[in-house]
Amino acid sequence: MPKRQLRFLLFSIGCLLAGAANYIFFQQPVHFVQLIGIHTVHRDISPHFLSVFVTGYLSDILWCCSLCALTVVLNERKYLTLWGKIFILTLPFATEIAQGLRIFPGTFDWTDLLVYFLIEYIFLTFLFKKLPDENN
Amino acid sequence: MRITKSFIAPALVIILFGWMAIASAPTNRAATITRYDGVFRYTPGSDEIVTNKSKLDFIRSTSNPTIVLRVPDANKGVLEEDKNVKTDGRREDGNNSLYNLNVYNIIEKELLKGGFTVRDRALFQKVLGDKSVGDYSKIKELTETDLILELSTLEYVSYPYTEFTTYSKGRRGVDVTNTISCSNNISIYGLKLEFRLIKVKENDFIGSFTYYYSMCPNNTCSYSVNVNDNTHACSEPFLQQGNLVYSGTHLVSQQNRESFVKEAAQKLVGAIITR
Repeated sequence: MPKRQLRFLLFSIGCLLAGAANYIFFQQPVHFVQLIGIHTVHRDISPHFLSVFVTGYLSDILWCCSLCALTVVLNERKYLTLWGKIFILTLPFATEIAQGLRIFPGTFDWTDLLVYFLIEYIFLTFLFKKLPDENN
Repeated sequence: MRITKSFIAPALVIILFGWMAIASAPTNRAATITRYDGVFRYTPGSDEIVTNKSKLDFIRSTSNPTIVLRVPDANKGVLEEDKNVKTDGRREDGNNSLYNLNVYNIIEKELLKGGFTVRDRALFQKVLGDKSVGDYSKIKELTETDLILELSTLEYVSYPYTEFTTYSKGRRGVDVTNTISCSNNISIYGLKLEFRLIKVKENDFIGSFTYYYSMCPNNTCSYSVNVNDNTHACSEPFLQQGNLVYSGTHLVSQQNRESFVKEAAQKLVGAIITR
């Protein structure tokens, strides 16, 4: 595996682990933490805006970054067609909308949608390589 | 083969990350409540005194003018011409009643101290209840009263909030200011007291005196607030003293209400009689 892809893969895994750690250390219990049977430690964060960021947005941002980084790897390893990429990159928006429609558990938030858009914009503009056979 | 490969990879990614999205939703456990020491700043209303100066001169030139305090209950059976007297804001809310004998006695005592001859409220009420008394000049004859001081408003004033401030010690002992936002409105309460002064003989309204109670020093109150960590719903600000919890209008104690009324009555006497 080329170093660039390895870095993206490690980045993707690192984001997921950091997001999981955030759920364990700073958030109210969520399903996956309960599922793996870890006792969560809720710590207060100060100042308030940092608390809101960490408990409300950080894990979502890390999750989206991980998804985008993994997509970069899969794309460069030619596992994805154009439609495959489209489906994957619409997932963050789809989950948020599903939360809004109460199909998924969770809270709909316009800010999340904006953050997902920004992350995907950055990945698509600066980090996705246009592969020679992309349009095949 | 190529189609299968290109279908499986995105499907796996979507399933894996979709599962993560669902699994990161909060569990439906009981909400946790955090208690904060909140700081509430407010701007109380300004005292307002509106008088007819020339009519007030009559009081100043009379030695020991006679006066009667008209209280809300005495409004039953008022004169026809006086039916439109403002009666808003009068409320009796159980143990937290604003209108009680103590308040009236305090006002009358301050009037006495100010040099007024204070007439008996009960007698005045009886005269007002007599249907044969058709106008104010008759009231003056029967009660020998120059002035009616009407306690027209004594009510709680609400100061609403959607957020409050807390202070905590950060690293190196530096004070950190946090603002806690609430998903609901919460309130703290002050008081408003309004008197109307009427010259009986001519039935002249000669003054309105409005006073506001500032319940905390420097217009800044410190109360506890419970906040639901999930919904950010805030409880009403409260004070806990032992097992007793005071919130809402009960944060203004009977003692504080009485000292406010006393202070307002002193200001009123000062405003009427500046000899």
